[in-house]
Amino acid sequence: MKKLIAGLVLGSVLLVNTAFAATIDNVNEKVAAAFKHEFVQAKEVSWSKSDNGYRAIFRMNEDILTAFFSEDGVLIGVTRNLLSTELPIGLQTSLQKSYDGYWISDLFEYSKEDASGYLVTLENADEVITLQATDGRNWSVYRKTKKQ
Amino acid sequence: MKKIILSMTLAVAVLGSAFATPADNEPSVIVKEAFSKEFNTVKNVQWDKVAKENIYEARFMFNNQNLEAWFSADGEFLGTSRLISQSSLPILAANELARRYPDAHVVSVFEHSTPDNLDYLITIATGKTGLVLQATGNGDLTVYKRIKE
Repeated sequence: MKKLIAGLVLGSVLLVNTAFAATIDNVNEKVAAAFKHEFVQAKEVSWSKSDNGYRAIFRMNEDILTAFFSEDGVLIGVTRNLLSTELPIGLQTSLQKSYDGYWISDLFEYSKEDASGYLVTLENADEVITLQATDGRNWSVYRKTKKQ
Repeated sequence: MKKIILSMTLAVAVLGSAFATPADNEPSVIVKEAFSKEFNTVKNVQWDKVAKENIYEARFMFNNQNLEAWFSADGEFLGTSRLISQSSLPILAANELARRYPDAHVVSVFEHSTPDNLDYLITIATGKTGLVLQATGNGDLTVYKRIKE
C-alpha cells in the first residue's frame, strides 16, 4: 500500500511538473493559505499555474523546493533536487554496488504527507534507468529505456 | 535482542565513541569481510571495539564524508551514523522541525541508519535547554532526550 501511495505521488508530481505555464503573481486564497500553513519558513516564492493546479518554487533553509497544489489548496507533493552525497548512506552504497559505471543525470527527493522517497536517473552508454527508493536502503527500477 | 543492539548503536551515535577501548580493536576476518561487502570501495578504516557489547566500530571516509559503521563480532552489519547538515534533512522532517521549533538553534544533525530503519537525531538549543529529537523521513518528530543546562 505504501508503495502504491508513493507511486501515485510520484506520478502526480512528474505529470504536473511538465505542464506549467508562465509565472503568476497571485494564487487563490485556499492555495495561499495551504502554502503558508505547510511551509512556514518559505522565502522567495514564485508561482505558476497549469490546468490542474499550482506550482510554487521557493527557498527554505538553504534549499530550493518545488511544491504542487490542487486548485482546492491540497498539497499534491514536494520535490527537492539533491546531491548524491545527500542521499541516505544505504542508498549511496546500494547505487555504488549495483550501478557501477553509470552516471547520475537527475536526482531528487519527493514527498507528500507521510509518504516520501527518492528518484534517481542513471545513464551509461547504452541505457537510461530511473530508480525509485521508498526506504533508506533499497532501489527499485521505475523505468528503463535503451538509448538509440 | 536485535532491538537491544539497535538501541545500543543509537546510543553510540548520540554519545560518540565514549565506550571504545584502545585494546583489542582489530576485528576478525569475518567482520572485515562484512565491511568490504558493505563498503567495497573503502580502503582506509580505523577500527574500535565497543567494550562489553562485542561490537566493532569502523571509522572511514565514504564519498568524501566521515562515516561510522557498526558490526557485530560475527559480521552482522548493524548500521551507520554520519553528521549531516540541516539542509540535508528530508523535506518532511525539515518542515516539521521548522513548524514545531521555529526559533530553535540546530546544533547538530546525525543520520542514523540500520538495515531496517533510517532516522535522524537532531540536537537543538531552545533558550536555556536542549533537546535531542528523533525524526523519520516521513516527518515524524519525537523528543529522544532532554539535555539540562
